[in-house]
Amino acid sequence: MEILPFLVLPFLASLILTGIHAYLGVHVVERGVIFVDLALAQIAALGATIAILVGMDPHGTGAYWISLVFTFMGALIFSFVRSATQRIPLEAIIGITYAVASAAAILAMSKATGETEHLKDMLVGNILAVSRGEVIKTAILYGIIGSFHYVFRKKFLLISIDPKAAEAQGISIRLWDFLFYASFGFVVTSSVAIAGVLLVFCYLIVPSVGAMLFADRIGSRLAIGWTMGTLVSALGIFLSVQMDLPTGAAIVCTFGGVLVLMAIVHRLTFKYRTKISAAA
Amino acid sequence: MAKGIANKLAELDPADAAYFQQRFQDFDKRLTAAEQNWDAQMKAYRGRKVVTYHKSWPNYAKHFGLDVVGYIEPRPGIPPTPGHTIELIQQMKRDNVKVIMVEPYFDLKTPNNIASATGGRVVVMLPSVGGEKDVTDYFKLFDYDIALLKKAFDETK
Repeated sequence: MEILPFLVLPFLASLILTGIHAYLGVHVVERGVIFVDLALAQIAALGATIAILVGMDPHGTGAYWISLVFTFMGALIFSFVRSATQRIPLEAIIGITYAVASAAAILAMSKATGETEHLKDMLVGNILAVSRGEVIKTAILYGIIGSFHYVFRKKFLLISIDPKAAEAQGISIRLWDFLFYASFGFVVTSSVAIAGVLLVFCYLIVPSVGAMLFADRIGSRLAIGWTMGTLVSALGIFLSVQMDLPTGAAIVCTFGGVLVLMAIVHRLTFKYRTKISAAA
Repeated sequence: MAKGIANKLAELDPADAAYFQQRFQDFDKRLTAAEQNWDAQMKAYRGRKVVTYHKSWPNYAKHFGLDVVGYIEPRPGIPPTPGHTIELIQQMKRDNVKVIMVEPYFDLKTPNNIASATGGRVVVMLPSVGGEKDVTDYFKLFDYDIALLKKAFDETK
């Protein structure tokens, strides 16, 4: 059967998603801004709505740039809020941003004349339908963003894990926060167009959480996260073929199942370890 | 339907009943002529096999004798499974199905992907008046859709 060649591109796409999101997820979980990807994706969708409102083609380059500008404005908001208010949790601001951006998109659509039904599709990608061009383009873009993060990894990690120490070292938190959210928003917006909100959320959060069960060091957490993401992608795609299920949702549920398994293993080995240390 | 509207209007406003009747007859005449024209244009394509996004063009396909052999998304709102998509691609190749009819509000990624795998063509057809600036009435709607379909059929023989 020609089933294998058909699945090569979706699998490659899922590897690219694993590569960048398992890394970004470490930051997101450390910062405790779990839903920031949903908020940024919604802001990008709002940008696309505005583009339609002024008469642009929703899939054209103009609409793309407007979405990007909106994403950067969201990044600006998040980086300012963190440094300005200590008492208000950032997650509250993220929730508000999500709600307001969604509502504003509805308002904009109500004033648009042409077809705006595309918008709901922006948040539900179909990873099976990814094209060769998309895979290549995304690989290059994420490669550039990944190298940028690699070069400045010390700064990025420090502001995520220990912002006070970063400030003491004279690093501009506002600037590096903005760079983080801007590159993050850029990645999330592109990923959501390929795989949809649910799948992107899982690639971001689950590997990082799974890795935290077993490791503390960033390096080991990344290694566990990447391994988990790769194995889950392969298993999810395999299950979706075997059981004739929609691929994206199958991968999401596989992520959930594997995480539960990892938690059980962690629980068992943890008990075992404490027994040994108690006996010693 | 048009006759019903004319009758109701005449009932509400008996003074203008003759005018409504005359307008209805004019519309009916124009529609009959247009239908003959559309049927004539589509006659060469009777029995051609097509794929649609959902089960969404049954009357259209029946009227013009198009044979809908499959759907991109058989369960509305649930993304297609790999098995279904591969089967559809194989069926399209086997039966030489080249035309995929899609409404403008569906995402084109999946249809485009299948079209490129089968050498087919995605035709974004309008389901109602107003989908494009120039499509201002029922007549222009069918003119528009038929022109698109004919072009796709001709170019993918």
